[in-house]
Amino acid sequence: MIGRIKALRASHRRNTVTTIRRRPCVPSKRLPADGPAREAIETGRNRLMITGAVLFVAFGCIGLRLVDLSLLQPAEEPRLNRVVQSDRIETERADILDRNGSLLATGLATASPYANPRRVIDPDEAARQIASVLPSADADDMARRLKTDREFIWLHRKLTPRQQWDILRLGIPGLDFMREEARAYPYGNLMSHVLGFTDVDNHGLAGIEKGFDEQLRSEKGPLALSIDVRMQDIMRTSLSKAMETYSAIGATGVILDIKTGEVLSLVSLPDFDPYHPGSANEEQLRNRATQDVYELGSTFKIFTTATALDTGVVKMSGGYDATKPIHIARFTIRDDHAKRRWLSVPEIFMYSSNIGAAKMAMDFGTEAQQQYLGRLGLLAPSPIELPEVGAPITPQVWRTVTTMTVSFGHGIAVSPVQMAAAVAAVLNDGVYIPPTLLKRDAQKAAPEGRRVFTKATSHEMRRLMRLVVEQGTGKRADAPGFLVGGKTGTAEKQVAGRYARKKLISSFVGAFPINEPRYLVLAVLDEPKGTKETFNYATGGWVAAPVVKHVVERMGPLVGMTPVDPEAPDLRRDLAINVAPEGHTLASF
Amino acid sequence: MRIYTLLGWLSLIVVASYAMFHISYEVEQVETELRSLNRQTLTEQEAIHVLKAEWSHLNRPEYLRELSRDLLPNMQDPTIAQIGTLDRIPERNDDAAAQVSLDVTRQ
Repeated sequence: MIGRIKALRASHRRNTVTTIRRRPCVPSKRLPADGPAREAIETGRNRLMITGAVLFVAFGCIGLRLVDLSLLQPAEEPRLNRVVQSDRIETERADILDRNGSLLATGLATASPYANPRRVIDPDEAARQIASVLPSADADDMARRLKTDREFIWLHRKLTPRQQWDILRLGIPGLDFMREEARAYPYGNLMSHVLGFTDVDNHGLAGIEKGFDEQLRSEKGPLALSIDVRMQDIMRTSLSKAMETYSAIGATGVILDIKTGEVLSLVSLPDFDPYHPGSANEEQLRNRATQDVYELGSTFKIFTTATALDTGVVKMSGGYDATKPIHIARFTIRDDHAKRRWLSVPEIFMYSSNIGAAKMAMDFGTEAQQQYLGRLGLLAPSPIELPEVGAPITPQVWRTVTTMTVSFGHGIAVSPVQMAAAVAAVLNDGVYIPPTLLKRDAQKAAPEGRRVFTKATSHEMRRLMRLVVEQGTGKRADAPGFLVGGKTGTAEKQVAGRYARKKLISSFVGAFPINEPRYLVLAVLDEPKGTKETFNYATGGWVAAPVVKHVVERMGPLVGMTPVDPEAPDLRRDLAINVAPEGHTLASF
Repeated sequence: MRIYTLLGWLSLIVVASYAMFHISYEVEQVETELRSLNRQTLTEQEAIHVLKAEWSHLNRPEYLRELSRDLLPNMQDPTIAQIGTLDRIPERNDDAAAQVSLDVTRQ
C-alpha cells in the first residue's frame, strides 16, 4: 500500500509519461496537466494518503505492542499451577504453641456430611441408615429434615475418618461431604482454662481462643504462648493431689517468670474437657486464677511490710507492740499465732502478726497504701491477655479500719494472677512487670515495667520471705537446695456477708532462688479441710506450702537450676537477718 | 536462488512451529505433573499435620507418667541429692587407684 503511494508520487513528481508496469490497477494513460480530472486525482490521492497514514499508525501500534508483549514484558500471565508451600499447611485458624514449641491447639481437616434433600430418594430409609452409623443422630428428626424442600441440610458436623468411611459405605445418593476444620487440643484438660475453646464454626468462645480470635483467624503463623507444658503439668498434678488430700472444692496455681512477667503455668481446678465445654458446669468453666477474686489474707503483709520499709516509717530493726489485740470500731484485730509481746519487723512478718501489720499500715497511712497497691496493679483488673479477667473488689470507702484490715489482706479481693504479679514486683528489684501469656523474645531486653519499690526494699523483702520459710509459718515450702522464700496466707471466706470460720482460702506464694529471684510459684486452695497429718489445720502453711515445695523440687532441675547449699557462707551473708534486735528481745515476755 | 530462500524460510517455519507445539505440549505435561505433585504434597502435609497433633497427644505428661509407671516400675523421681556439678566429684586419687589394680592382679 505504502509502496504504491510512493510509486504514484514518484511518477507524479517526474511528471513523465510512462506506463507503470506490474501495477495494472493504476491507470496507464497520461495524467492530465490540469482541469477537473486532475483535481479529482488530487482528491483521490489525498484520501489515499490519509487512509494509508491511519492504517500505518494502526499497524504500527499493533506491531509495537507485539514486540512489547513478546520481548519486553516479563511472563506475567497467571500460571495455572504454582508450587505449593511445602513447609507448612494452610489452616483456617492458626496453631497455638507452648514456649518450647509443643502443639497446644491445631486445626485438623474433617468431613461434615450434608444432604440435598431433593435428591434423596428414600428419606426414611436414608435417615435410619445414617443414624445406625452416627450414634448421636436422631433418625426421626433427620428423616423429617430430609423430607423438606431445601437444597442443603447438615446431617452432622465434623466426623471422624471412621464415621466418614461408614457413611460412604452406605452409598446413599444425595449425600456429600464438606471439608471442615476441627479444633484439636492434644493436651486435653491440661490447658483448658488458658486455651479456652471454639464453637462449631471455629470462633473463639473463651480463653486465648477468644482473646486472640482475630489474630488466630487472620494470621497463618502459630501463636507462641509463655506457658510451659511441663510446668503446667507439675502445677496441675501437685494441685489436684492437694485438692484431693485436703478435700478442697477448688484450687489454682500460677508460675511466673519474675524477670519477664511470662506466665509459665496457669492452672485452675476443677477444669473441663475442651472438646466438650458444653457439658462442663459453671464451676469447671470458671477460671479461678484470673476471673475469681479472693481475699487472700496474710500474703498481703508482703505489700504492707514493703510499703512500710519503702516509705521509711519503720526500719528492719524497728518493731511494734503486739501485746494486745486492737479494738477499732466494731472490729477486733488479733493474731493467730499470738506472741503477746513487742515484735520486730522480721518477727511480725515471720509469725504473720495482724496487729503488727495493722500498726505498720497506720504509720504510713491510707494514702500511701492506696498508692502502692495501685502501682502494684491490685486496684485494677489484671492486664493478662484473657477475656476472663475479674475486677478486684476494693473498699468503697477507705476508712482507718479499712487501711488496717487491708494491711493483712481482708476487705480487699484480688485475683491470684494479680497477686502473683504484685509479689513478683516486690522481688524483682521493686519493678512491676505486667504478666503476659505470650512468649517474649529472649533476644530482646526484658520489658521496662514500672518501679514501685526501691532496690533496697526489694532486697530486704527477699530476706524476710526467706525467713518465713526457714523459721516461720512457711517451713513446709522449703525445697532443699532451691532457696525458697515466701509467705503464707489464710483467709476466711465470706458467706452471706460474714466470715465463715471453717471455709478458708489457703495460699502460699513462694519464689526461688530467693537470693536472685527468678520464678514465682503461687498456690491457692479453696476450702481445704485439715487432715490427721496436718493436725486438722488447713492454713496456707499446712496445705498450700507443700504444693509449692513439690512444684519447686520438680521444676528446679527442669529450668537448669543446680541445688545449692543454703549454709554456704556467701548465701548466709546475703540472706542474713537480725530477727530480734538487742534490747527488745526480753521486753515483754 | 529465490527458491532456496523460500525453502529456507519454509523449513524455518516448520521447525519453529514444531518446536513451539512441542514445547507447549511439554509444558502442559509438566504442569500436569506439578499438579499431581502438589496434590501429593498437600496430602503428605495433611498427614504430617495429623501426625504432629498425634505426637503432641502422645506426649501428654499424664500419659508418659502412666507409661513410665507401667514400663519402668523401678524408676523414681530424682531427688535433689542426685543433682550436682562435675566439680563435686572428687579428683581421682592415683595411689588408691594403683592399690585397687594391685589388689586385682593379686587375686
